[in-house]
Amino acid sequence: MSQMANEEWVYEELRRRAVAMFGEKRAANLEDYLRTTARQVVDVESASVHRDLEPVVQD
Amino acid sequence: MPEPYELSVADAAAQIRQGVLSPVTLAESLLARIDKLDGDLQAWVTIDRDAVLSAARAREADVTSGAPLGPIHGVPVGLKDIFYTAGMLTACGSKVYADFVPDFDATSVAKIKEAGGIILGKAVTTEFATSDPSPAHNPWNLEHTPGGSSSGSSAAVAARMVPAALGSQTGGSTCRPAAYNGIVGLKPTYGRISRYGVVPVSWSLDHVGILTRTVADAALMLQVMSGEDDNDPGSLRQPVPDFSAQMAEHDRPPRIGLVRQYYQDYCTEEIWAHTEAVANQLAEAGAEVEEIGLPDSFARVHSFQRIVMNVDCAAFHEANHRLRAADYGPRIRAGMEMGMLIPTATYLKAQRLRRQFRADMNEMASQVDVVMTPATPAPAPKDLNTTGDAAFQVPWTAAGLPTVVVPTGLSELGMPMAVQFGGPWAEEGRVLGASQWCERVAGLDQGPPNYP
Repeated sequence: MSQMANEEWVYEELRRRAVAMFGEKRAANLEDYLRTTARQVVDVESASVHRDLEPVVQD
Repeated sequence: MPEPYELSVADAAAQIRQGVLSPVTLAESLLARIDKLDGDLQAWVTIDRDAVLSAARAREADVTSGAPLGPIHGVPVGLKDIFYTAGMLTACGSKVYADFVPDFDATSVAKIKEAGGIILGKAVTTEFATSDPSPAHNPWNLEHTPGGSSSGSSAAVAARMVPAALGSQTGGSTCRPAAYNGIVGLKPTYGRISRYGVVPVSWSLDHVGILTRTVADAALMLQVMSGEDDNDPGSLRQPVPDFSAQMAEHDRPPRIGLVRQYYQDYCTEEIWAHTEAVANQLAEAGAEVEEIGLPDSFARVHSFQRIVMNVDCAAFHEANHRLRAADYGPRIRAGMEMGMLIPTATYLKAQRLRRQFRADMNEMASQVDVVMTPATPAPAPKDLNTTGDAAFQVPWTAAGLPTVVVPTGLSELGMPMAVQFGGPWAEEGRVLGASQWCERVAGLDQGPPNYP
């Protein structure tokens, strides 16, 4: 299983980045948002897409 | 004889064209209405009375001189305070943009003026059109949220302070407040109306939305503002159809696909019972109502929509966040900070999933004339610290497909309830036509009782 499909691993990774970017105190304030975002990332990363499918950005 | 402020866009424009109604009388009537009600509702942030009355006098002179008149000649329109207006404050409900005065009009604003419309003023928005609540109140009950993010635009149209207003939708910011305030909301196909000069939440997801009291008015405003714009990279590269002709073609008992899956489980019993009652009423009037299933890709839509929105929002605000993060509201700040943390590959995967989802939803919507869902999971919450729940709009916004919300009843607490109709890509005429038929059969023909 990819690490990106492991919610706890993704949460820890997001939290590590948050501490680096915004500091420990702000990262602690963002706890609920980090948990929610970890779930969203896992949801996206665990989906399969056809290898030829390009992203839609603006069209 | 209705007061001028009670008129729809179409009726006001017709009376002005016939010389029965003066644009100055209409503007004065709306300004007086704002004076009377806005202390309670707080729907407006900037109104330049002199400019409004000056524009109205100029429109009146056009009528008397026999000059060519546009389709909304002399009719005032409100703008959510994220639309650029040359020389007029565009503060986006934000400390960060508190002094921002654009030097050009958004394309949509310019088109309203070209069509003879008058900019009545800027309506209150939640901060940068996201989810920190605005000071606006719901005219049906001041203790309930008007929804967001097009809070002021919706409350102002519902309270008859203006016959039409522009909103925007990145998640559910036009159709949700429309439902909460008992008015019509239209979110067109992605790119149908240019977003040039509209302060973005997400370049990938933002739509210009329309708030009116009738489906016909929504179609009229759509006609005025639609069209390709080289300044908007997401602009729809298609000729603009004659929406009223398309509406007329579809203004008949439609084949309706009612979505039970997900929507029934997620909404209150009262909302679902109301949705089924409306479906039965439409069926008795001749519509073919059948259940329709959602595509498998629907399961992840809330995740990939939020990832795309947060990353796009972070990209737009990154420079200001670095300098003055504390000047942002708590929810938008947290959202953009999440966007800064999300890996690029995850963002692009979210955009790939969105492409698949858009195709799947388009295929589903093409099986019937319109897809029908409840407009919101519940009526407007009695809570001014929330803007409500956008869950029933997010899938349609992520797919970029057109939707119309039609008010259809009142809850036990006397708050509006509504249904939402969706259709295939670039098929606004079909959705508007069916919505107009449904509005005639089951529409709520009533305004807020405290502000008659």
